[in-house]
Amino acid sequence: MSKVKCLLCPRGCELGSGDRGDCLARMNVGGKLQTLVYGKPCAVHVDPIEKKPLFHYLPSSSSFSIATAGCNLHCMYCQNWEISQREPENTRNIDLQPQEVVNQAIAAKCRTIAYTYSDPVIFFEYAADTGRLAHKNNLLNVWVTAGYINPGPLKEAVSFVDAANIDLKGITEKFYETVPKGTLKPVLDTIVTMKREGVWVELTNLVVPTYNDTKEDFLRLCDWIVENVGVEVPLHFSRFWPMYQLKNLPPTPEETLTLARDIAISKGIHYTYVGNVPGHKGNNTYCPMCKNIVIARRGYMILEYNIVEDKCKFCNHTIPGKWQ
Amino acid sequence: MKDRLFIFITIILVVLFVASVLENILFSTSLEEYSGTILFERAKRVENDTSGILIELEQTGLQPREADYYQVMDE
Repeated sequence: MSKVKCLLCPRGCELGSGDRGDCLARMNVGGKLQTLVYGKPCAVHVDPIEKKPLFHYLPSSSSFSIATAGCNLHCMYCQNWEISQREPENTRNIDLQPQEVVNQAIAAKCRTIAYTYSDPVIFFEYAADTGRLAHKNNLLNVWVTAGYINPGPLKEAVSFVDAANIDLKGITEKFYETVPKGTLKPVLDTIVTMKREGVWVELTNLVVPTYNDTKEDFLRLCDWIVENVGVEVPLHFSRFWPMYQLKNLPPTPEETLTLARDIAISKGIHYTYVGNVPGHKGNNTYCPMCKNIVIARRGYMILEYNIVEDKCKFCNHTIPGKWQ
Repeated sequence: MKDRLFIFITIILVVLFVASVLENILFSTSLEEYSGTILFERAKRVENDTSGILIELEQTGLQPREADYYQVMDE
């Protein structure tokens, strides 16, 4: 029986007959690579889009969110490890074919379908078919991804992905080798490609004590963003909570997240947020021109909304995003 | 009579409680046990028995289908 090489992600798993990919969701069966998770999500929820987090994309709207088992990264702090680090036969799945995902999203009055929780890369075929059907039904597609994907499938993905929150988990190869067990370069390439191809991109950096929380880390991360995708890409610094293999660490101190945000602002990044700390001033969107709050939030909840069409109500400055 | 019944039920409850605590301490080290999810046995690797693998996977409720983005390698 033939070996196959998976070309979906940078891992490039070479699989003998009966072997399974590193993601646990793909398997060589008799010389043909099979996806094991098509139409079989293990998580289906209706979430506020702010939970992705996307703060500049259809605020206050609901997003029909799906995930399957498996992942092509293995983050030591994974918040969803019970589905992401499991074989699909070991999670509780439901049968939900693409048309049914779209039907349920419409019935739930969602404007978007989010492919999230694990990583849409590993259920690519399912996400692609669902995404194209979603477009035919006037729904938009949101990917919440680590961006660990090869250029070929990425080129196909940008044809149906409308918005993405991409995890930029760290800014050194060493961090990617240690914590998510991957490599940094493909992630950076994905961010640049998605932005260039017109996908609405927001970035998330989960700040993990002792792993990626130094001033130098934040400076380097912000420098890369400014240089490669510009100051208008929203950046979310998210608080780590002890989980999975990193239960020994404390939650990220609020001061560290404030420092990260201050550094991003000093580097000229216009929209910098602090996540998982309800009530932090970094929950809000500020107009970079007049400095007024254009969207006041507490966690995922919007308390005040001062954007008219796509402009700041106070000074008429354009705030980038998709607001309606 | 009532007292004896009460003592009997109490003893049963204490035994069950101790058993569940011991079970958690002794057997909860693996990822599978920790989550408490009932597991299917992972589809076994069976060389040259592809229909067997597919049947096993389908028995777990999955519906494998051919993936995009791969290449067949020379032997």
